[in-house]
Amino acid sequence: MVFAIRIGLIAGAVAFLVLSGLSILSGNAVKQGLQELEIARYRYLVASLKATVEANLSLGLPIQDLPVLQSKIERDRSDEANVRAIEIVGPNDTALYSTDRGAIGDRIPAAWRQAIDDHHRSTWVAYDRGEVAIGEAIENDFGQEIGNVVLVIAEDQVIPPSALTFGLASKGWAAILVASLLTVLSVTLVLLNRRRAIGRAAAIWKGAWSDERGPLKTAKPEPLGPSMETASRNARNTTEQAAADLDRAKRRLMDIDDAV
Amino acid sequence: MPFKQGHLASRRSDLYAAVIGFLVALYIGLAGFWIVSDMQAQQARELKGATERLGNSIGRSVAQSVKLALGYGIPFDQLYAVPDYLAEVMRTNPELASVVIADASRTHIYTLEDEADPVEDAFYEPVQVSVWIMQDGTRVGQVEIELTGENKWSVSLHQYILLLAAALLGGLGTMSYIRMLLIESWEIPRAHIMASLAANARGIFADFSRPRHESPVTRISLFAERARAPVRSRAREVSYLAEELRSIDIDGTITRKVDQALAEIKSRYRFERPTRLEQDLWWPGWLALGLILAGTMTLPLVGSFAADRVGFNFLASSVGAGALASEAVGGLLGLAAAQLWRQGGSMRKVWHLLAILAAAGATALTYDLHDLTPFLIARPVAAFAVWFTVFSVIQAPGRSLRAPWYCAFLVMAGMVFGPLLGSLLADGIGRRGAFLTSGILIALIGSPLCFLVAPAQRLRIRVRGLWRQGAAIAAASAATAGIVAFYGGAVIDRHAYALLASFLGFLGAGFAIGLLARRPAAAPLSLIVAVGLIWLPFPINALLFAALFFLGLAMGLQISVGWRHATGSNGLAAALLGLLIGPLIALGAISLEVEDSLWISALLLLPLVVSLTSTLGSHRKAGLG
Repeated sequence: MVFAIRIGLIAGAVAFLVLSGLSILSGNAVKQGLQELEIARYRYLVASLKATVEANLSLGLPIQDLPVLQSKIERDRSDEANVRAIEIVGPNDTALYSTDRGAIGDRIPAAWRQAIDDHHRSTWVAYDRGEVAIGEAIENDFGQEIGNVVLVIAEDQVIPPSALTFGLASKGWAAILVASLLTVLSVTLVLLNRRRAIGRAAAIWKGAWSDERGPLKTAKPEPLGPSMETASRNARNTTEQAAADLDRAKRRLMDIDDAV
Repeated sequence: MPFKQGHLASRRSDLYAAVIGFLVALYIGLAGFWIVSDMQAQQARELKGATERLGNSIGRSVAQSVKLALGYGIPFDQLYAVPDYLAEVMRTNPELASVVIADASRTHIYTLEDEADPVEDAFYEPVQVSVWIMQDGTRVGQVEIELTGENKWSVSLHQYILLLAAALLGGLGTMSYIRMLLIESWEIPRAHIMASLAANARGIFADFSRPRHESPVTRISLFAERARAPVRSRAREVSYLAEELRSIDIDGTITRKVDQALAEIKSRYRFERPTRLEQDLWWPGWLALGLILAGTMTLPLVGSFAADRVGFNFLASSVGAGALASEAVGGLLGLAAAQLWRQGGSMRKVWHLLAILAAAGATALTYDLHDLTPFLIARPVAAFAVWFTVFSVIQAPGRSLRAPWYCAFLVMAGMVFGPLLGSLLADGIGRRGAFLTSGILIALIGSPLCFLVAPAQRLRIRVRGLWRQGAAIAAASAATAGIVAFYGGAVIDRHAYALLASFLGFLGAGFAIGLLARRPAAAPLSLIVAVGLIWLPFPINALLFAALFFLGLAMGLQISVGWRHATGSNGLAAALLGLLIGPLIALGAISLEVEDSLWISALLLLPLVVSLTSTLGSHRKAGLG
């Protein structure tokens, strides 16, 4: 009984863990979906800024000599209250134009550089010190990467609050608990059923099985040998026979002793 | 009296494990469906809100551009290049179903919409957003935007795929655990007890000590011993009495009479222990399963991680395949080292510990690795150390008692459970996080294992033919699993980890059912079904799920017989060889631009031929063919 219950509890714990993991992953899927939608919103802004920058570049001016971009990004920044900063980064990883004018000339954070390298000219996203940077490479007419357009947003604007995505309603917890309990119950019952064969074999040894309760139910033999019940019966028969034989031998020896 | 391996092949244990596995998968599936449905009801409003915000953002931008043009005095219906502009907007925003620019009377002036897709329309709930075009405080028109609602559908699909993978993982995991437990707590003690009962029935009354396993079966042993003890006591009494009588014998008459009285007893019974009955053997090999799980978690991520180091170019596939192949080579070298190094000793343990720490470091540091070369060095090093230790640990005595299960479980852990867990982990915390977790787990699980390594032992393979076919199937199937890992990770979709986990789950479910069914003759049929499903002209995931299930089934059916006499090292070597072959075949297929269905079928033909010939061969041997 203890064995079956213990295994049942372990199986129940497996079900509990898997379902808890599923709810976390499932919540994470929502989080990713929401995040993708929010990023898509800013990706559109980045794409339109990139188009503006590239249109100016096609006039033949170097990116450093386009002060019109500074007013353009400042105008766009004022239209989007959620955007913290917009930057246009030059070829040597320094900010050429920025809505945060103090940042002009600063090198970009290492996390941005890493994201740029990892995304190979597609839209890249970098998470750095509570902010999310969404950027896209600026290319000249020859397809060479000469900089990046970057939007900086507060992380909580893009990543939904964890309470929303990880929170499991009481109904969800009830489902996890019910499934875990059902697992414990089913596994215990199935394993207890397995113990019946032991009970029958044990009864043979205990001598509890009398003929008045009907003939012994013959267990199906295992494919590669006799059942435990049959083996127990054979062994017990031999044991009883041996006890009788030994008693008889003892009596004969005592007879010899008496005769002497 | 060594007991037979046959005791471990109890059909009832198979059935119990299968029933329990199925029930757990069912409960997880039902409860998970409830959880996901409940979550979807909560998330629908949030996703709709986010979709509307996206629509508003795009609408405002389009309205701004139109306002700018109208500001130059261009009439509404003569705006220059609006269709091209709207096409560009649609192209950069795949979420858009249509964009309409209307005048103040809501007459549609410019309209651009995606071609209607009946399948999409059936699943997606479109979201509509309108943004006014304002000029000098007057509404002069409006931008009407319709978004597909695809995101909501893809989130729901993602959740259902996760549910599928979780149910398969829970069901298969519990089934494997119960089967393993039945081997350890039921089959082996039962074999021990059956051997003692059989000896007892033949008249041997030795004191067969109980197996140390904690098992319900040992109750029988206790009861039997209680019945045997008085018999041994009587035998001792008889023996003392006989000795007493012999001691007073002068002319040999008494001795003759005593011998006559005891003749029957002596011929029928023995009261001393005849031969050493194998005691229970605790086998540390099962612990190696943990290390295999930790070490193979990153398998489905290796190809895509390597490919991403070189970007989207013609080299990406080759680099992905090369990284996976180098991992397989590292594993095979680990096997060779374990086989060649036959001595034990404390120095060996120290070397193992160093190797495991190197593997853990190489895997965990991938978290912050951005270059290809160190990654390509780290993978074979990590694989070498993990498999070197695994192969050394499973050499410990006791593995032959657990055949064929131990080999099947080791392969299943390495080819199904590890990659499945890794895929789910990557889905949750990302690829780099999965590498870090794997590294930590390698150190935590692998370090204690280093102190359990055993010197290599040769195990005789009694039925070579069966072993070969089992190995061939394993290699081919692992090759397919390798391709799934490679393609799933590197080519099909770099972020479809949940889908990849489900693929592996279906492969594992088929494998487990095949193992339990033990009908090798059905393997060719199963493979034919798998090939047929892949050839069907509907390249949807559902068919790939089914095809992988039947492939796993064929593998399990064949292995259930073929691996009874195989050693774990050989079986795992075959699987690793498959992992080496798989990505290389896939790479060849890419280079030759062969259709997916064609090359997968070509790959499946190998085990099909092997199965058919071996099945026909075994029937002929049995006089049936």
